[in-house]
Amino acid sequence: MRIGNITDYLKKEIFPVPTRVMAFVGLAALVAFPLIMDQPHILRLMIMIFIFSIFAASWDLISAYTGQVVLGHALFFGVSAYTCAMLNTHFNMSPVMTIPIGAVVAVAAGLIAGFPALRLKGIYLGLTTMAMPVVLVAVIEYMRSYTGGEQGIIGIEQLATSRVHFYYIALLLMVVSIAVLMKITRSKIGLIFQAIRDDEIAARASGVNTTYYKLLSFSLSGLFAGLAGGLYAHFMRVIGPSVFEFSFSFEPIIWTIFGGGASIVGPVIGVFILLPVVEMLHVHLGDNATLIYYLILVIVVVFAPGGVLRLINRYTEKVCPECMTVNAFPRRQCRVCSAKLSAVNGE
Amino acid sequence: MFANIFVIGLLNGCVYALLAAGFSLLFSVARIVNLAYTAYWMIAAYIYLGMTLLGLPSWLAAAVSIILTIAMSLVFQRLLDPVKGNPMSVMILTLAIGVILQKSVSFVQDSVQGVYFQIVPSLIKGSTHILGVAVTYQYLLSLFVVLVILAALGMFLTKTRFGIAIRATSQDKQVAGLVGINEKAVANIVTGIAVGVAAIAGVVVSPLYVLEPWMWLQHLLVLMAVVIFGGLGSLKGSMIAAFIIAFIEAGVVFLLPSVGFLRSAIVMFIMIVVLLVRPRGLFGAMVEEH
Amino acid sequence: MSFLQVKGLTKRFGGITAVNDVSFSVRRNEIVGLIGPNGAGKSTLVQMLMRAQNPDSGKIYFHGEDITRLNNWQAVHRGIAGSFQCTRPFRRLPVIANVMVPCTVRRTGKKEVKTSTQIQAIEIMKKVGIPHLAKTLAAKLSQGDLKRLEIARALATCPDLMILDEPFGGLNPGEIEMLSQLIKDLRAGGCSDSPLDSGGLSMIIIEHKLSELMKIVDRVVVLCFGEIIAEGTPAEVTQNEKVIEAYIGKEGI
Repeated sequence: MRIGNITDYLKKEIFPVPTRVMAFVGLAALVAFPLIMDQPHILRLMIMIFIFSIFAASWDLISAYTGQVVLGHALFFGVSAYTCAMLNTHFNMSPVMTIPIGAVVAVAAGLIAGFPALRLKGIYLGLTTMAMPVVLVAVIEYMRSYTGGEQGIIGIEQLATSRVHFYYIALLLMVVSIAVLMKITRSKIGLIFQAIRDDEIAARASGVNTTYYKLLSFSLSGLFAGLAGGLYAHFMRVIGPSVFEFSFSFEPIIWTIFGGGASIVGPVIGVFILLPVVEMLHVHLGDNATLIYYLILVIVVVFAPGGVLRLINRYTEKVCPECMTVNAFPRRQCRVCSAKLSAVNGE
Repeated sequence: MFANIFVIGLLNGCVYALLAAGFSLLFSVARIVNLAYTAYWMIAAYIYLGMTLLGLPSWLAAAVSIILTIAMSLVFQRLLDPVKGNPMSVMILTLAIGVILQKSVSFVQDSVQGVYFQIVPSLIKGSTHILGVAVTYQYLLSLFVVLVILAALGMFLTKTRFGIAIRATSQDKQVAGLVGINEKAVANIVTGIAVGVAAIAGVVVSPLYVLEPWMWLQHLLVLMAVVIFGGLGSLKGSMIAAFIIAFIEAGVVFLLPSVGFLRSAIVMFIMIVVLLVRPRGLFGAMVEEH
Repeated sequence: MSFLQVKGLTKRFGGITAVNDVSFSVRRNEIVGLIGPNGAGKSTLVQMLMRAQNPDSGKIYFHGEDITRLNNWQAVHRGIAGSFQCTRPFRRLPVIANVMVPCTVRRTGKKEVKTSTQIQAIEIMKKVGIPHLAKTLAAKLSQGDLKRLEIARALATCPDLMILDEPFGGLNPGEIEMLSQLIKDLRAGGCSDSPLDSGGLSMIIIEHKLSELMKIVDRVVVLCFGEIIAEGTPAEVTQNEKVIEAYIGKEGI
């Protein structure tokens, strides 16, 4: 691509839309961030944000896009984290090997978890997936000689030598993952996922091989959750059965609902807002942080049911009714087809 | 050994059955999965404990606890209105309510120093032997009360005019509206009854357990297993499932003590298998989708 | 080799036999009306043809191939498409996306010119008369538009045989007039880019509004208590004593 093409693209597709400008500026800031801020605990928080953004977006794909109620998403994350930890500590495999293997194992877990989804729907599927990590924790505690039981596994190798190094790896992987997930959800596959979410029987009657696409969604979701899990294991250097806890399964749901579901960007926004908030609350309030955190959550869910993303969109952009192009809010005319834009932002 | 399994299984089975009945009732009318349900059970036990610690007589403490819990649930119910259409938001919201209740209890516990907040005083003291197992009078009382409430709930739903109205609403909301049933009022009363049942269970059973603010989560999972195992919305199904699960748990704990810590995992595993064979639980309606 | 052939199809629900030993066939480019009193087993029969339900016994042949054990979506890929009695749109997607779903997964023929699914979807919406609704959320459509969306979606699968379950249900006379015309046009022109290039498609239509139905069908099959009691041209069937008996007390004929 020539430089001219890039500036052209920026001019046409990025700068006219406020949210895209925000994303662009935000990304630039993230790249520059370690140059101005080198406090280890801040970098640590940022790395966590990157890892959990991938994790949250992978839940968005399976549940908000494909409509498969997964309440045990920690399964994929934890399976991969444990795979990486065991391969690394028992066989001395390098993180460059273990993370892809962990992600593949998470895909396998996704296929196994997807199997019930071929027969179960809604809350029944939700409970089945919620029960899976419970069963797995029991297996881990039973096979303690390999898994470390309740103590977990310690002494996992760091993926990168320095924290700044890790920061850039995690940032890159997050940007790539989010870009791939957005590409998928805006493609034909994403359309079919949404059709399955809205009405599975009608999707089948439209000629959609629902078995294939449901398993595909589970595998893709497992892949990205697994990637996050592998990064987590090699960043924390110690993991235990706590990665399978309910709270760990519920976090991605909270982030997604908070940020705005079925958008991939929404969960990322959720993580970027909520994780620092939690950190701050913990520093200032100690044990009572969780109480305040959930109170904030209740307020946001009740007063902004569509999530933060919808709220931002509503006040910054308008969608052209004719050509579906996104326009900045103050515009009266569409920037592509010159159609009139209504003053109020309707759905 | 088997007497032990029987005694523990029977009580837990009754408690599960009672909670499952309340939960099913809530689901069938409001059509929402209320994850905060067992938190109401937990909070009722704690309010009761707090009131007795303040010196209130047991019966008054029980009454205050039940009324407060119901009032709380009706207030929280209001919060759900704006997100009614989105089941996932409802779930997150009810979960958040549960966590908020739990953390509030912890908060109070931490700020009142020097009081031991785990053992609830029994309503009556003493014990006897049945089948060679030591059984406290509190256990017998709890069992009796739970059985009475279960029976009363069953009678209420099948024999009284209002109970039938509730079941009509749960079958078909629009038709119920057409024949003059006030859906909103029914929903409120049902919430009151369902939470009231949980609160009563919390008050009378709590002396038999060690109280912990987070225990509602553990019970929630078992409760969900019971309700879904039996078939969501089927009262009969959840009754039977309650006892099956309670006896499996007790059986694992007493017969295989070395893997006792696996008991919930074993229950979950059995449940996954059952759901795969019968996707709508043991007694769920097996209707074809249209 | 006949187009669609059904042999001895039987379906029981518990003790009730909904469809009992039904055999009939449909020729290419033919519109067959399937009528009968409520509970006669019409919907169950077409559900089995669409492979949404499994028969207890009997065989279904389509283009000479035994399709009795195929899936719903496999049948769609063979060229059988259906609409639902109760409309089932993808509620949170706009109308155009609803129509694009079958376009993205449909079989492609040799003759087909590669066009984007978006253009294909717009073509089909034009045929059905809903291009102006392209960007509307399906959840916000009126009953009449929903019915047309159902047909558009079935059409988008590029079928050789289309099964419509009560297409006129909930429509006003004007809309029925339009839909009848559409059905006639479709039979004549078919789905233009069908890989088989049949030139037109066959249809099975279940409908209670008999006077409207009789105007567009070539042949009528009458089902009563799960069995075929009469078969023939609209004129023959309306004269048939058994049919009159089955419909006594029913308005329409």
